[in-house]
Amino acid sequence: MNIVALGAAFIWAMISIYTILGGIDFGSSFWRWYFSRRKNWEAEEVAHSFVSPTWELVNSFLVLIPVAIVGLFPGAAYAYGSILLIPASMVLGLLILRGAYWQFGYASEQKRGPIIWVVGLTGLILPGLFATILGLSQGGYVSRGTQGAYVLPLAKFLFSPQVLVFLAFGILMALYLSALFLAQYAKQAGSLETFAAFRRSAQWVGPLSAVSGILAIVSSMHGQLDMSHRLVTWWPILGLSFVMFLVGYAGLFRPVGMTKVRMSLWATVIQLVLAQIAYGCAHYPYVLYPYLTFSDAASNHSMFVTTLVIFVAGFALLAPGFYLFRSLFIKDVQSVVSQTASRGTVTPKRG
Amino acid sequence: MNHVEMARALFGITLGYHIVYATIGVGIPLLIFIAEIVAARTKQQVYQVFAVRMVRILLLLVGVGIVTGTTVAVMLSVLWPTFMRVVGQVINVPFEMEIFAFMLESLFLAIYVYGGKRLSVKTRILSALFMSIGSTASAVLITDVNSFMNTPTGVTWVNGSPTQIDLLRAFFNPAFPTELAHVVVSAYMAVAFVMSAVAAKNLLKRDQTSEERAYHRQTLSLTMAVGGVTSVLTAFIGDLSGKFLAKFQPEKLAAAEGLFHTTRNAPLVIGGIASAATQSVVGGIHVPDLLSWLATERLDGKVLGLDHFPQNTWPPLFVHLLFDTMVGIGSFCIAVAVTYWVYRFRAKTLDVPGWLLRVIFVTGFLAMIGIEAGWCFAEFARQPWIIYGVMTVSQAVTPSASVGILFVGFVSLYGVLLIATIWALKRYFRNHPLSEYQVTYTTHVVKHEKEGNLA
Ligand code: HDD
Ligand code: HEM
Ligand code: HEM
Repeated sequence: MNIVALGAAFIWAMISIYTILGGIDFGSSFWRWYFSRRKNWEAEEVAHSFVSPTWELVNSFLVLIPVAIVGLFPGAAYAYGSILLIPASMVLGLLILRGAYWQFGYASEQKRGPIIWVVGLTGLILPGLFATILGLSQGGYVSRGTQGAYVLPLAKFLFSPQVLVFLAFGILMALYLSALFLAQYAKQAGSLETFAAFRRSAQWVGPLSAVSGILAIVSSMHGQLDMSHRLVTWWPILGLSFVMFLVGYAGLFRPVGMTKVRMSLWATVIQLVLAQIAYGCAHYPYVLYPYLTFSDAASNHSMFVTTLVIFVAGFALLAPGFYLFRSLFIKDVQSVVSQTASRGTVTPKRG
Repeated sequence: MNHVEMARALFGITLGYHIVYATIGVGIPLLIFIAEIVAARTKQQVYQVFAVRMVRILLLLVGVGIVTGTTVAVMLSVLWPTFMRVVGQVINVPFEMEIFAFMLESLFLAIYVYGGKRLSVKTRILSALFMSIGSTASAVLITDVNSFMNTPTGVTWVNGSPTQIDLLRAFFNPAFPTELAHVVVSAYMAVAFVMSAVAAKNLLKRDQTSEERAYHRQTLSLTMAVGGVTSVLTAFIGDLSGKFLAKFQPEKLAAAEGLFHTTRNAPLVIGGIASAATQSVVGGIHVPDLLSWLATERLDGKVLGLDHFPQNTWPPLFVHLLFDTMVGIGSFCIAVAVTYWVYRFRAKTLDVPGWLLRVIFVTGFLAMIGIEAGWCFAEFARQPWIIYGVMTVSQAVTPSASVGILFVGFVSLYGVLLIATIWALKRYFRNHPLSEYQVTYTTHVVKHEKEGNLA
């Protein structure tokens, strides 16, 4: 593997991690909203207690991706930077609203209602918007104007059926993953009823997420990278990914007491990673089809290597901190759930 | 406004907004760390309560700091794509390290908050220390990119493209030491004064119980100690920054001081309006020889004036006022801190007269304005360059034409956020008054004197 491919793999790895962490984070805030509407307070509280301390860390992974791209592939940062002004600003607007509302939730109990729905709604849309960038990268939307500048006709992009499929895929994937995660989380905290509620959610979102994923892969437009054919080369990975989905989904249908939801969750994570590997390989060497390849976009050798070293060293240094955090946090959720349980399921304060 | 000006305005407002949250994010962890140590040393719970309440402020503000910071990071790429292409090849290392510094901060903030009483005193102090190291490092690293923009070393430019890149020399560029030290110390200082303003405001209220007054008096004492030390340091390092400018960015210094003609025995002009028509500063107080002394440490030292440079690379002349605002506020803060301590030692009491409390209250706002004025000065006075001497702002701007709509959108969003932040802070502290904490406040005056010194 040459170094450019290593860098590209690294970026995809970052995107994978963010897909999973972000999917769980965004999806959980949607589930919190959903269950607060159905007055299932314990489920709402489980979703809440997961997102509270983690969203800042998850957000820093989001910042990590553009910074890594600028360090490894400044040409790609330039290309996407010049076309994404409006879409990226929309995403930022939603992120700002979401983060701010979250934070202000600490200040006031009475204003819970609006906070839950703003955070829930933005949490629903954001993963979808992120997913549309994949469609963009396959080409067919961007053209080059005079003097070589990249141009993106926004209306064509936003209303294309393919982009809508990607949007749906991003949303459903996040919902499925987070429902699985919260089910496992509730189980860890020893709350069977809440576990069953999340499991039910996962049961109905699962197939939708799979179908939208397949549609996103096969959908193709004129002038685009022909993903469905390029993916054929990588069929073993793709096939394994599909098997993993089936394993994870089947795991949800055992009687409540014995469901191995941890297994379902991990199978689904592996499914997503495998699918992304296949997708990334089929997409390689293009960053932005047909204009830009990874090697055209790459930085000079020393910045390239330094960037990779910094990221590896950074994660290694912080690992003990993450470990301490995780162990504190699991204890925290157990106490949160037992408190909610002892308060009874419906407290008047939140009516 | 044309396209470039729109982009500059949008970016400038975003940063100007972010910096308020970011500065507080740098300053509060230090205060928490100090409060934890003082609490452990003196065994007084007041400082513990102070730490807890500041963590709450931090939690509320960090969220907004993060989203606006994320906005800045993304806007760098979408508003200045050409600039980022160069940055990506030469000075991306600090941006990369900053993320880990930030993770360090938020990790230990989370540990500190969620660990709560389960943590031992030592772990709490350590968490606060790591939190503070993380946020300070994050400010240092990001500012390093800015100092590279001021003094782009470690690279040879061929037609505006970077070649022969030396990452280390880019990282440790000549502006690095002074700029970073000044930014960090001024952030500590500003936040200390903001917190003392909060204490002063509460002491001015008539309906406070004696416990509440005791709490605020002690926090005032602590923050005034921190503010006093850091304000002197800020001025000292600011002076070094001036000497740095004289050497590396002389037209920036010339614009800061409104010096049009290269001279020996250059006077320092305080205030007044730099006018291109008369080639001089209209109004203002002239102090003979002082500028030469400040820039070169010799009364007859030669200081380059604007006439030394082609007029199309002059910074805008109003930066003179921004500079004077910053320096004026810095000097005023020192004066306030000195007055406070002189009064405390003379009067041998923790009680501070009402007029001084009012002044301290105002100083809190001034300190933040000082930060804004300083940054705006540093940024405006780099014009027309985005990277000094290498790339101009208009070369770097995005070709996208829709900046105008975004400008309106973002400015309204920031407006809403600002109001919401203030609302949330007020709300929180109304719902959580001091009496919520079961603390025994010592009201004995002599005992406080000792702590005042300790703090
Ligand atoms: C409350 C904040 C504050 C206060 C009281 C001062 N400064 Fe400052 N100053 C800053 C906050 C600041 C800053 C916001 O941190 C800046 C903006 C960019 C930077 O590097 O630091 C800055 C920049 C800055 C620069 C420009 C550096 C550059 O552009 O590279 C100079 C020459 C000074 N300062 C000098 C001073 C002096 C002589 C002061 C005397 C009291 C002073 N500052 C007080
Ligand atoms: C946080 C404090 C800062 C404030 C308040 C601030 C403010 C501003 C303002 C007002 C402008 C517009 C200047 C003009 O158009 O004349 C600007 C431009 C800019 N700043 Fe800063 N800035 C800050 C820090 C930084 C840092 C740390 C960096 C680099 C990492 C940076 C990078 C830029 C860039 C790239 C531009 C656009 C080009 C230009 O106008 O020079 N700024 N900033
Ligand atoms: C071009 C300039 C800047 C960029 C691109 C930028 C970017 C960011 C980003 C992305 C974050 C969120 C961190 C994350 O989620 O990982 C952040 C937060 C932060 N920034 Fe900035 N920032 C800039 C200017 C500054 C300056 C000049 C300072 C300090 C002097 C500063 C200090 C901080 C701090 C302390 C935080 C942590 C948030 C908090 O504690 O409130 N930033 N910034």
